[in-house]
Amino acid sequence: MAKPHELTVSQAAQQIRDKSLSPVELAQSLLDRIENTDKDLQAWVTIDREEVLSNAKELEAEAKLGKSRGLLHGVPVGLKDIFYTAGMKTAAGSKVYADFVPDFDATSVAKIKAAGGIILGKAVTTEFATSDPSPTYNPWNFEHTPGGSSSGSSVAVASRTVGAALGSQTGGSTCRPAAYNGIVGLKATYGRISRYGVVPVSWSLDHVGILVRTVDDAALMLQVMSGEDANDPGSASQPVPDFLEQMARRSTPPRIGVVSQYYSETSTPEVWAHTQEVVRKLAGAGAEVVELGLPDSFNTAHSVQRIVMNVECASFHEQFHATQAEKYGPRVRAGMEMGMLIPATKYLQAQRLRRQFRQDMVRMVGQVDAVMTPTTPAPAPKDRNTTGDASFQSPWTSCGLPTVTIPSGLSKDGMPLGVQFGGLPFEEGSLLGVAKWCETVLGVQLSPPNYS
Amino acid sequence: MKPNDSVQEIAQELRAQAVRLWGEQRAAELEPSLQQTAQQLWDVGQVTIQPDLEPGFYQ
Repeated sequence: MAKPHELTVSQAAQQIRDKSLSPVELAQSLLDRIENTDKDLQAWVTIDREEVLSNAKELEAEAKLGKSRGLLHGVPVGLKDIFYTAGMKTAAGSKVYADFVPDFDATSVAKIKAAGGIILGKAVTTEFATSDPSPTYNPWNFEHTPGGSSSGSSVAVASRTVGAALGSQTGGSTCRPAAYNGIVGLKATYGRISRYGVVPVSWSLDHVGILVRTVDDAALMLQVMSGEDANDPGSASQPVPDFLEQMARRSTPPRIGVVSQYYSETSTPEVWAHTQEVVRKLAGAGAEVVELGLPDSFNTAHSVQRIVMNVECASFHEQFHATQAEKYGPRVRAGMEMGMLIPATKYLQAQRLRRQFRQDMVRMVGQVDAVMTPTTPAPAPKDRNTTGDASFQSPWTSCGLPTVTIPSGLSKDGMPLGVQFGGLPFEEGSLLGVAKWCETVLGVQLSPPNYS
Repeated sequence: MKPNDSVQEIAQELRAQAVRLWGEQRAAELEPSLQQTAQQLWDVGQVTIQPDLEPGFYQ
C-alpha cells in the first residue's frame, strides 16, 4: 500500500472523501518527507508547518462530518515562489523582492484554497522566473540541472514531497523542468488560468503552469484553477467545461501530428530516436500518425518570443533597475537591459508576427487531435550553470496554445525523457484526453531511484 | 535602425545606446547579449507583414 506522500492528488482526494486517509496524516507525511529530503534537494524556500497542520486539522474535522469544500479537500499543493500568498513572503528568488509580503492571495491560490486545498509552502524559483539557475538539485542526478524556472516545483513533485505544485511558463519554464524531472507538466491556453497575483516576467507571454505526476491530476488542477478573472486583463471569457469528463471521452486512438522538420535536426540523435520509438508504440496501439509541416512564421518564432519577453520584462523592472541593478543576477539583468534597447516599432513588429504565428499554428494543429514533439532537444544537461534549452517549448508559449508533457522513458545516462502534445486554444479537455491515452499506452511512470 | 541594416549595423547601434546608458564597461559585458538581440531584431525585420495585421498582445 502506498504511503501518503506517494499518493497522487486524485488518489489522495479520493481517499479523503472515502475517509480512508486523514488530511492531517497526509500533511504530516509530506512535511516529514520534506524534512528528510530538502537538505539535499533544496526545492522548498518557505514552509509554515504550524499553518499547514492547523489547516489540515480544520479540513479533517469537516471531512469527518462528510463535508467537502471541493475537488482538493484536504490535499496539499505547492506554489512556485512567485505566487502571491497573503501574509507569506513571496521573494521570487530575488534580492529585489527579498522582503516582499503580499496582502492578498493570487487568484489561482485563492481558487486552490476554495477547493479545499492546503498551501504546503513555497517552492524555489529561479530569480524572477528567468534563466539564472536556482540552488535546487535534480533528484535523478545532482550533476544535472533540474531545469527552470519552475525548478523547485518540479523537483518537489518528482521527489514525492507534494502531489501538485504550481509553476509558470514564459518560454519553457513548466514543461521543460517537468520533462527533466520525469513528471507531467501542463501549460493551458493563454487566458485560461488567471495571472493575477503572480510576479510577472512578461505580461503577454506568462502562463500559470501545473506540475503533477499524472494526466488525471493535471485535469483536476486545471478544473480547480480555470476561469475568467476581471483582475487579469489577459483572462479569457470562455466558459470552463468539465475537463475530466472531456478527457474521459477519448476512448478511441487519436490522430497525432508529428513534425520532423526542425525537431529532427535540433534534437540529439538519442532524443529523436526515442521520439520515433514513441511514435511507433502509439501507432502500434492504433493511433493515426500524420506528418505535418511547420508554418513559415515558425522561422521567426524564437526571435519574436525573446523580443517580446525582454521588452515587457524591462518595462516591469525599469524602476527597480534604476536603483538596484547590482542586485539582479547576470542573465535576468542582461535580458531586461536588452529590452530597454529595443525600439517600440520592433516590439510591435514582433507582436504582429506573433499574431500571424498563432493563426498559422491553429491551422496546423487543427488538422489533428494533437501535435506531438519531443519536449526538450536533450535530457537535462550535465551542467548546473544552465536551466536548459527552451527552444521546443517557447514557440507554444508564444502562440498561447495549450501543451502538456508526459514522461516517456529514460536516456542511456538514466535521465528522464518526455514528449509534448500541443492542442487547439481552449480545447484542453481534448488535449488531455490524447495525453491520457498516450500515457496509458506508454505505461511510463518515473520515480528517481534515490527518492522513490 | 534602418530597415536594411545588417546584423552588425544593428549591433553597433545597440552597443552605442548601451554605452550611453550604462557606460563602456557594462556595454562590453553585454556584448554577447547585444549580438543575440541584434540577430533577433534582424530576423523579425526580414519579414514583410501584411498592413492589416494588428499586434496580438492578449491573444
